[in-house]
Amino acid sequence: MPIPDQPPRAGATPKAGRGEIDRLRVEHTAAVQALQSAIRDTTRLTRLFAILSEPAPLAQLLDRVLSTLSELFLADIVVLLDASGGGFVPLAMIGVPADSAHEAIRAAENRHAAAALRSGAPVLVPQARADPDVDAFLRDLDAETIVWLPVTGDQAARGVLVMARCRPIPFARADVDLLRAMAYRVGLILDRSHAEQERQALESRMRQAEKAESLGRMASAIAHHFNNMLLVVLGSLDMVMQDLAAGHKSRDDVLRAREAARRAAKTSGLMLAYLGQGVGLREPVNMTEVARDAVETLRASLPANVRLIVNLGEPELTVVANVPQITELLANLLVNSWEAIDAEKGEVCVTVRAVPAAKIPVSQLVAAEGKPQAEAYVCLEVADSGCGMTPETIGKVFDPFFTTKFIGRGLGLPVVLGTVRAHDGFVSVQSQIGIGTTFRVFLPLAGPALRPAAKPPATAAPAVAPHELVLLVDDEDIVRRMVECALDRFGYEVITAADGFEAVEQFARQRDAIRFVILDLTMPRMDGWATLAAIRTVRPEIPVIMSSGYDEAQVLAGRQMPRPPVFLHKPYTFDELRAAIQKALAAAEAGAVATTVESR
Amino acid sequence: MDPTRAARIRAGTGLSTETDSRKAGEQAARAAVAPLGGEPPALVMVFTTPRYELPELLAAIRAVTGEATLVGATGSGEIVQGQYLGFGGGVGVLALTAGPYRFGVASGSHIRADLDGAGQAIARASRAAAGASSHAAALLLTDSMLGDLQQFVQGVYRVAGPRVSIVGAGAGDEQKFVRTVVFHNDTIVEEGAVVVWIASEQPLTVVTQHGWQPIGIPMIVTRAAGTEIMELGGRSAAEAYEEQLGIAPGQLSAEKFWSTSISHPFGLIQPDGTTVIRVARAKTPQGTLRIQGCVPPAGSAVQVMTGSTESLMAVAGQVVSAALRAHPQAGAVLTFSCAARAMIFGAGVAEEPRRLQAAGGAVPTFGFYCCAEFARTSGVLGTHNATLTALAL
Repeated sequence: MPIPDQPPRAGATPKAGRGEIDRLRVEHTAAVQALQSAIRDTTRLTRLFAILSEPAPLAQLLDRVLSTLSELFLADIVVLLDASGGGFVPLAMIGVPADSAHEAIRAAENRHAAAALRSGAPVLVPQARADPDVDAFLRDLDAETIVWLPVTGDQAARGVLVMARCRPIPFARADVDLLRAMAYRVGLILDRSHAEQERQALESRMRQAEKAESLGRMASAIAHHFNNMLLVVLGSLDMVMQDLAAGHKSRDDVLRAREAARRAAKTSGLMLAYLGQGVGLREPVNMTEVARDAVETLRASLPANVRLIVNLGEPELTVVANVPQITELLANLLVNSWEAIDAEKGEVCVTVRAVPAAKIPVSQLVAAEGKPQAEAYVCLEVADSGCGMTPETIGKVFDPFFTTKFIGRGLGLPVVLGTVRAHDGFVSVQSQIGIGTTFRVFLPLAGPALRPAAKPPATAAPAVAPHELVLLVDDEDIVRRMVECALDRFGYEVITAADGFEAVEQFARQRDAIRFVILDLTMPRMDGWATLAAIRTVRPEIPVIMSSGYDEAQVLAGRQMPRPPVFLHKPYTFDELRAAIQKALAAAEAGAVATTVESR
Repeated sequence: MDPTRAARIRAGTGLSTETDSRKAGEQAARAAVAPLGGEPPALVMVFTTPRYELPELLAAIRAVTGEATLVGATGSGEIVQGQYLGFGGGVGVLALTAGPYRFGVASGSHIRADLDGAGQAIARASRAAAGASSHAAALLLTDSMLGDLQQFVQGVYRVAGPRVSIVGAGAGDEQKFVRTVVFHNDTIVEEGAVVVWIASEQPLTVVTQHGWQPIGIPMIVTRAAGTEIMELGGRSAAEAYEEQLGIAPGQLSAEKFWSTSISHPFGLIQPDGTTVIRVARAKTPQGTLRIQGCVPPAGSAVQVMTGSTESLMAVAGQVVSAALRAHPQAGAVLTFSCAARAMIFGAGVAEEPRRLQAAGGAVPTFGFYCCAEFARTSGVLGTHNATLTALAL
């Protein structure tokens, strides 16, 4: 019920006496003031909670929270500092001129902020001008009284809330207590935001993984098809070469065509490598040895203006890897490095060493989808004194077909990344314009239980007996005809089958006459695995060469026995086919073990 | 630079009640530049009735003031060195030399969609035009019908920071609430704002007072959105408001609401016990209250206020005196008084410009009756209603 704010008019005759009215007026005023005070504190909480209850993006929410705190506590300056990255970075602010704020705050020592964060308690400075630890950006804004409040949610200490007044009216202790509660609420917002960011990052990684998987399947199928066709091209060219007399004028043309076909086969392999599909068979290897061998092989190609320094300090650093791919990786890094040296003289330094996971510079890792999981890694480092790269270029160098050079395919570094990912490793880049670039590849260091296997002693290849019978199984007619011709030239009698059913029928009819089987993996009706199982129930010891345009590791992934003794990757040359046959026959004589003939 | 020139700004005011736009502009401008003693003005301010052909009016003024930057606004009555120009009355012009200041001006039109961003952009551009200085003031003139003008003030504050005083007003249209505009040189800025960045080597102090007193009990705004308060203390805002005035719920008709609410605005209770005034312009059929300009957000505490002609008028002299105490070397005092105050003063409204000038003495006072006053004195809040604000230059 409102009380009149004016005294009674002269002449009016109040029922109560004048003194009673005055007393009531005083009591009313006191009651209203008490209510105002209670409402002031209530409204501070209700305003903040009203904002927090409305869904809004984090930046917008923080801005509204800070504006409201500025209004509710008459603070001319309100800054929320994020402490998650080690230093203090402003997340939101009111009253700090935006243009220079970030730099000024980053440059500040933030001693009081650090103290508040460390102690978990507010730091109150009632006379900022007299305190030398007050940061310059606050002094420059004429801050007179300041409070730093730790912002801690349920999960972690998130940062510090800085509130300042540019008038000499200190924050009351009761205000500070209330602000602590509000800083906690801000901490909860940051907790929630952090959890949401992690969830979104996970979803993004899953989407990328699904996309990569889909892309990988497509690339793999294309590569399979290409490899089948390239097998025909290469095989046919091999046959033409055999038929051409030495010195024939067309031999060079055929050689060029064969080289081009081999390069095309390699490119399809690189695509798979970039997608992490070209895993290849991995085995424990000594990285120091692999690097030494690769460097020595590549040294011959080193440009005259580049000095190569090799530091292979530790004699034995075991990783589980595919040697040809690691060699290719090192070659890509080396070629990239010496091509970066456009000066008269420069250096490329190759170093192999072990590093604990904690020493890996996580912030420099490229496209890393997680943190290092192994305890220690082998670091293969290639550093050059070349022209260096801008941050923009660094962001693109692992993109397929991105190149800053006139020459090159733009697949070298993407393949490095794909290979490293396939080996559960990481890549980092550090570069400075005019100083040079350092690439570091980190591969998980294998435990002491894994040691590089000793190379098996070479077994004498059995001689090819003329007119022995071979079963050739492949669904591609053109492939079948080409390989049949090749085997014919080797002196074999060949029977063919276009799928697994035909193969099993043929094998059953001539089970004792067939010397070995060349078996395609991907076929309609009955694939290579089922066919292999079927013919081995008839003759378990029959030598079998499994052939495919797919990567060997993909082919063998998850498969149990019976595994083929020899895997022959398409496309292959006559020599590689011959070597595979010899290995398969030798393995059969020695007792079958899985082995591989590399064609790349 | 001439040290005497740098020490004190020189100001001249002029007015005209001519009905012809060109004649009015020329007459007011000639009167304004005359006291400058031949020194060219650096900044020209124009506050005018909206009845003129505004492009012609501005062209006529600029024909006299030359290259000097011009800013201004339509109003709901002008204050020209003690004189009051009522609705449809005429135009007032203030011509200022640079004195110790550097003026930078920028404007933007059609800024309704992002008032905060526009405030930042315009403030940044005006600051760049003025150049760096130890202190500054930002004079804001806005279309008053853009929405939540506090967002614009906040945008300016993001760029300015606490060392820069913020002062100014929302344009008026003689209480029709149809079209209010501001001026930048010869441009009529539609749905926009103009900012004058006044670079100074001395602090520039904004003064604001309103003269309203609280009645009734404080209430919490429990629901508010857009330009409306829906609930006070969990009840219909209109009913709660009526109760505070001792009126039975629903008895205050929509037609009579404005004439009542203008005398009983809300006071938004501040942490230091002071109040920032907010005026409810209308009562909706749903029982919500439509607020002029800047709505108290949900969770705020408000109190119904009351004021007499004398209590409101009393602050006029106090505001100008305080402004001049803060800056004794001033050569002019800019004053912005709410059009709601003028309505309350009624026929006695001319007394306020007289009191303003009486307090100013030899220093000319100049301004207009506006629709929202800007004055940031602490925290981020800088938008007021039914208030008088001043800045001495």
